[in-house]
Amino acid sequence: MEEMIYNVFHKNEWGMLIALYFYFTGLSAGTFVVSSLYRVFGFEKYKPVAKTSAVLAVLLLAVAPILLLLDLGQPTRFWHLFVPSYFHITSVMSWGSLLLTLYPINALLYTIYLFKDDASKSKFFGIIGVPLAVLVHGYTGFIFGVVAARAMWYSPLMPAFFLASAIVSGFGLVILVSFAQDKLASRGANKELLISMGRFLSWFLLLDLIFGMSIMAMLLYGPADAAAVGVIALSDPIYLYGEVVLGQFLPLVLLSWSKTRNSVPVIILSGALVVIFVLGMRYSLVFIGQALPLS
Amino acid sequence: MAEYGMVIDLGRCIGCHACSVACKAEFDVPLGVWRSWVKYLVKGEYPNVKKHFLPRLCNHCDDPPCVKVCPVQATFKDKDGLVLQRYERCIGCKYCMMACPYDARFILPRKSNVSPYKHVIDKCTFCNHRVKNGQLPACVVTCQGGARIFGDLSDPDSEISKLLGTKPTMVLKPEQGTSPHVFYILPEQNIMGGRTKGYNVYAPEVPEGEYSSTAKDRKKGGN
Repeated sequence: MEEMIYNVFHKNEWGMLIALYFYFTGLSAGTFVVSSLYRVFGFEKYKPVAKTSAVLAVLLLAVAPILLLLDLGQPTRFWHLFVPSYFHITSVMSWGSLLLTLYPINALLYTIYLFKDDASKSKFFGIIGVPLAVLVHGYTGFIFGVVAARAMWYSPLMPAFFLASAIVSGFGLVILVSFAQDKLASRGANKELLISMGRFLSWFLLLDLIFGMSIMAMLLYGPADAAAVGVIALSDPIYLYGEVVLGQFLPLVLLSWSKTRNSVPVIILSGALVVIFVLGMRYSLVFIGQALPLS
Repeated sequence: MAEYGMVIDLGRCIGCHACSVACKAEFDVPLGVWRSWVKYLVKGEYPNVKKHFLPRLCNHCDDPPCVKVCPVQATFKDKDGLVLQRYERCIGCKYCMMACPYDARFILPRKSNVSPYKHVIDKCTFCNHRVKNGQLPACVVTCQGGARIFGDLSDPDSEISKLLGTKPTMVLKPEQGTSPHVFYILPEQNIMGGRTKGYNVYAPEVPEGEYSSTAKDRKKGGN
């Protein structure tokens, strides 16, 4: 029998602001990718939502750095991140601050040219923008993935998991946007577009679920600290019922089952579920990842 | 150009926390956070029960994950092997706190009457200001049992090098690959009481040998 009588634990300092930051960058990157489907990838179906999702991507990204600034211990020193001699090649956060300036500038330019209906320039910035969007959310996965000390985060799948999650939330949001757009313009829902988005969403949800389940399975089979944090995650209702059941599994079933996948209300419901509960994924990763004390 | 490290003899630690208090006093460490502390663990069931003490502090690793992840290079490993902090540069992002496998780092409070550094990350500095003047760290000097031995690992004649050469030592979480500079000499009794219910724990006399330096001998290294 072992009993710890006295120990010192330093408080978990990454909290809701960081979880919200991941949520907003994920939504932004996802909506940018969906917006680029029209100009960059040539899906004509996506023309009605291309402009609104581009604007959304820029707006969501305007919020994200503010959240980070609020979380810093010394917010007025944020400019230290941009001093060239302070730049640290091995720090994912250094690279992230670079990405977090390049991506918004690019997204803004893309949006401006999209609204000017300049086909070639918007395509150009869209082409640069897709890898930037991928990186801007992928780097957050790396921020977690390289921390060897914390078992829940240390996984090669973490960047891929974050990416799949971002695209999932992007499609979810654009589904809601398309529905809102048509409602406000008093026209019927764009059924073809919604079904197409529902299909995409179901495939990326499958990917998201596979990555999430792989990480969880490897945790449970891992060393003592990994297994402990895996059990903590599974007994957390926000993770289990919020993220996995309602955020991944239920929308996947609804969007794959032939009886429901072509129904507009079901697609809109899935979009809403995904947008709400993908925040649960960010929340549980940030909080449960720190739940196991290291000292 | 030294390579400072510490050896902690768990057979000598009595869990008195004098080291924790001395460290707190030396740096006015704020409430709730600790640069150095002693972990208590009770193993076994009566009558085969034992309380174990594990003095903990920053391990000043050779391959520190905290240095690796700092976005502004505020945390660095200096030429003497100490992992230190540039307080004016730290932006308080707390990434190093997440990356440390030993939970050694903490954030200073927003307001302070005693410290010019507020709301940045801090940790044990191996008493950098004392060591650079040829003194020993506060926790080493004050240890009642002489459990903490501090010195230059790169000097083959230092007490710590001799100890590391003769005694079996362990480090914390070696699988993390951090190469810590804090080594622990396990106590000579069988400490696996928790796993060996009913085992007769035989405690031999601590033998006289090179390693029986008294407090008097220790005075050579510091004050």
